Amino acid sequence: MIMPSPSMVGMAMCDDRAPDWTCRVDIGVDRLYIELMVQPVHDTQYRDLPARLQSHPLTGWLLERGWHWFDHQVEAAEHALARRDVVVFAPTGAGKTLAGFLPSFLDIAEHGSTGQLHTLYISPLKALAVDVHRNITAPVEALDLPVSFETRTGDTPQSRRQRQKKKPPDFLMTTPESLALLLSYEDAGAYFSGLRFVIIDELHAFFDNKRGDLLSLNLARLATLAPRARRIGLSATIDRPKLARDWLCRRGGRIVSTAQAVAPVIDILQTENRIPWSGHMARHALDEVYAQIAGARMSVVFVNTRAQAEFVFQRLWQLNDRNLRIAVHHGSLERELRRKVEARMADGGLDCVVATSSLDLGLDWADVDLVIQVGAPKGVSRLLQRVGRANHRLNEPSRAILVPTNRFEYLECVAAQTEIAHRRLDGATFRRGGFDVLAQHVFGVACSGAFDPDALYDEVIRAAPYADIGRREFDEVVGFVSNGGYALAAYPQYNRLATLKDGMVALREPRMARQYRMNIGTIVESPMMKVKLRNRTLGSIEENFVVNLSPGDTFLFGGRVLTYEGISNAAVMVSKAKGGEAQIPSYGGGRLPLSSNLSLAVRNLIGSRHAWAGLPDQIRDWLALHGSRSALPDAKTLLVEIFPHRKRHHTVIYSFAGRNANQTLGFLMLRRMKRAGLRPLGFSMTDYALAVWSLSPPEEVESLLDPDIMTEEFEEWLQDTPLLKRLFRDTAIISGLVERRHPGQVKTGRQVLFSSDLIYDVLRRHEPDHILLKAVRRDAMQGLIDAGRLADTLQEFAGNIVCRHLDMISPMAVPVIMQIARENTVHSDDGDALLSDMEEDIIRAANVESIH
Amino acid sequence: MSNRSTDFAGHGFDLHPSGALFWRDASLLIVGDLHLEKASSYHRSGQFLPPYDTAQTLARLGGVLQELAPRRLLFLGDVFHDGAAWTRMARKDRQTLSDITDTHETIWVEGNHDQSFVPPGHSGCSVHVEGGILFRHIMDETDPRPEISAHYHPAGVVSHRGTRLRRPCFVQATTRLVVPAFGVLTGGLDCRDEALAALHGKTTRLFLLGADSVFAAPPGLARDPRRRRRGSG
Repeated sequence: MIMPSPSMVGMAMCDDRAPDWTCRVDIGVDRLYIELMVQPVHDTQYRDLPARLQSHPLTGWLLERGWHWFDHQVEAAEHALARRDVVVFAPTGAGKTLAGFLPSFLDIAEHGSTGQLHTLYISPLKALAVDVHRNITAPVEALDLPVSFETRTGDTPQSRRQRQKKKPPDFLMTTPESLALLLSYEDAGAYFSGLRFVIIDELHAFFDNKRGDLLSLNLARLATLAPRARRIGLSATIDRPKLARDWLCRRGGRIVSTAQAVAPVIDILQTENRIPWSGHMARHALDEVYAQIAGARMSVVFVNTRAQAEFVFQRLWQLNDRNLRIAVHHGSLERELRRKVEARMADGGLDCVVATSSLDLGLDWADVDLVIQVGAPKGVSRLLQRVGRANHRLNEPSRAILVPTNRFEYLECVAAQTEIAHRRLDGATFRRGGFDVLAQHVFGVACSGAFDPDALYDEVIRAAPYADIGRREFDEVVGFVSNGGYALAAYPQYNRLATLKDGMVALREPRMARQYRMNIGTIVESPMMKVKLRNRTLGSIEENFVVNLSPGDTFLFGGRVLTYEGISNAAVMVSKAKGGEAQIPSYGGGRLPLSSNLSLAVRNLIGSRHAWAGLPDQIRDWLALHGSRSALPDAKTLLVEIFPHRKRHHTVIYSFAGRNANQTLGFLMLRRMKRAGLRPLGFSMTDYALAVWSLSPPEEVESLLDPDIMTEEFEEWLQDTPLLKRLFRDTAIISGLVERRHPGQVKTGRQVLFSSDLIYDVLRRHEPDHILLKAVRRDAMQGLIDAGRLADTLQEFAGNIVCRHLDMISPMAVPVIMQIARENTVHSDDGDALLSDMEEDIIRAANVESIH
Repeated sequence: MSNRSTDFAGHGFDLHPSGALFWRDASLLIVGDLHLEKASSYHRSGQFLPPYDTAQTLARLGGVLQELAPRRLLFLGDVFHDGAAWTRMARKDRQTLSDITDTHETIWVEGNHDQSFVPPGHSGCSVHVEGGILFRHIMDETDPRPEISAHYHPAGVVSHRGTRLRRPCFVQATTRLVVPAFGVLTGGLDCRDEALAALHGKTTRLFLLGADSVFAAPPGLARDPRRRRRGSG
């Protein structure tokens, strides 16, 4: 064992007897652990090392310490050096980063630096790019390797950007947005001409979102500008690696994978208290959670929403009689505050952090020994990644405790345990590329110089998410970029693009590139407002949350109870509340739908009584009670219950299809039930079930749930659903139809400039086939509306519906019925009904007064 | 369409769900803030909003005129989004507007956006007075006389049964009535804003525009304390 010394790179403790175990290299400074993972020497493998790797100083450096490379690191390097694209699948912390950079190190060792950009490293997170930069620094400096490397993100100062343009480093660590910016410069072709490798980290994070669309288009562009550059993808383990390979790689792309060495140990918190039938705050379990925290060295309590983060944090402090150092971390907090928490974690100054996914990264350099997940994991892969991030101990499996907040979630946690034990992962989802992102890209390409539309089309369809788009759609996108692409073409003098004599298309005026550069990116934040306590900024909060507050209201933020005072200079002014409980904030938070895989596992568990043996008594009793009052849903049948409750007839459909698909089904059911004369009034949904209430009870549910609802009601509904309007707000910005509002930028003028809702209405009325409306429909089908999953669910259950008419609400229906009281439920797509109801109330109130 | 009536300055007015105000006894239709060619005004800066707003706004106006059949039409300012809007208008849209002005007696109150532009053959005025009421584009808080104005694009926000709704609205205070914007692509200003302080009061009425009718909100309108400005902050 070599002791780390503060001045040199040393090794963490390791155990040579453990085969195939990962060790962390401790660079000896501030206990920063880095992802340079190696394994103990085995002589047999040693002989197989390719000669050029063997002679590289990095290998010598490792050998001196009795270590050498992982097989997957070597294999990936071999592919990349043989000019093949490659995707490396490995669990978190298995040395993926080094696997990514190894070919670059070897290539530079052999051929020397070219003076041009050699390797591009792209990460979905700015902070990760910075972190990887730091990790690479250690061996490069220790060995004095002749490699220069820098980061470039939105935070990089202008002076350094200029220098990077003039004298590029060998390695550049960046994000998809910064890459798009680099590609939009007129000298992009020369800048990237010497590029040899493109490393894409956290590849799995790009498959099902618009940032992935953007990245994929950028990679296609790079393939044209730098045909020699190979792509190296680094991904968490997923269930369909070939699809991931096809997303990233060109012909001949390879897959390299390595399995998780030791399965994580995942327990479910066993509580003495009563687990509620519904709710999400885990109030019942927090004293036990506190006991677990007290027993761990450094724990992270992950929650699913910011509201949960605030609530759990506050309760833990109320229970904190041992004065543990507990902090909170979520995306709304000011960046400085978040950095402070991360830094204190890294230097061991905290015992526990309550966090949303905003902290996922910070874990990489902290010595966490326990992960507690409050609330359902919603997906197996997501849970594994969270748990895996915490593993920094040698020869110990990652340890996690799940804390279900209600009985349904308990089942979900058990199902997740089973899936992990059987190593069944969620299906990775891949999306079809957005037309709005394509429009942004085409604008960017035009900024870099004149383009040939035929060649650009060929390039674009080589990006996997755009393989399906036709030439006509592409031309419509180009038309949109040029002048909006309206049938009524109005003012050619304002067009962005001009077609030259030779058929090339170019920016009409170079200065227009500025508009593109100000609006790059696919992430549209909901409008946020700064939260200020006197002159201190505490963080940001959604404008939509603020409009529902009245002065004097208290809410939890950053672990404090704050009193809302008012708005001043576009900031939310608060004061410290004088003790007491705050109203629980209902604001934002990632609401991921339950994965299909986990949903099936939950249905299997409910449906097979022999599997209940391991469940706590209260859960078993609850299931049995439900079975005796109603029926149990299972993997084969769809349970529907109809019962009266509060003078309404409720139809509860246990689809287990996730909240998005359930919401869509809710809208469709409203239409169909209305048509059937059942006078439906509204619906609410959870991941598991949908509840529709009506004045008359349905007699027969088979026809209500016939899969033909997906054609008959669906098309009609799609025409006027407000959900599309919501999506259009993002599309309008990403496509460049309207300009992005930059954070902190105060609205000018007394009126909002224009509302994307109004634009949507005008467009829908006058040009229903406009490319942006097509864009919104295309996006909606795969995400918010989740049409595919809903159609699959209905097909699967057709003919297998079990309907129970009950006298009263059933145990499992409680959570979905409770939603009615808790949330603003959708009564209808039309607010006029609500206004009319309001007026009737006023008239009624007026009459009462006159009688008195 | 069902209309709602209100008494103002001793006269009866119908509130139309399109945002138009109808003075039946005077056979006068009042509309404010059409903002014609608003979308195209953004094209210069590279924001290609759909150029259909002018046609749609004029079609809406034509529909109201047909329904209520007034003899006279009062434009309460900002018919055009900017001084050059007229020159950008499609020939067809210009014809539609001419047809309207040819068949009605028109009064053009000048606005701020339109840079006092009125189409050839017409003349504008800054204030029109009739029946003891002043018609201005922007209200004059210092003038105690009854006044009907536009400009602010007022929008009312109501909460009912846990759902919050925001709609363009008419605002009626004791001596003032403000009409909503008539154009299809015009945003709104929350009436609780301090800019509309002159309208705040316990008896102020808001009439919210629905698709086919106008809805009265509970009486009273107060400044939204969220919108106050404090010193330097």
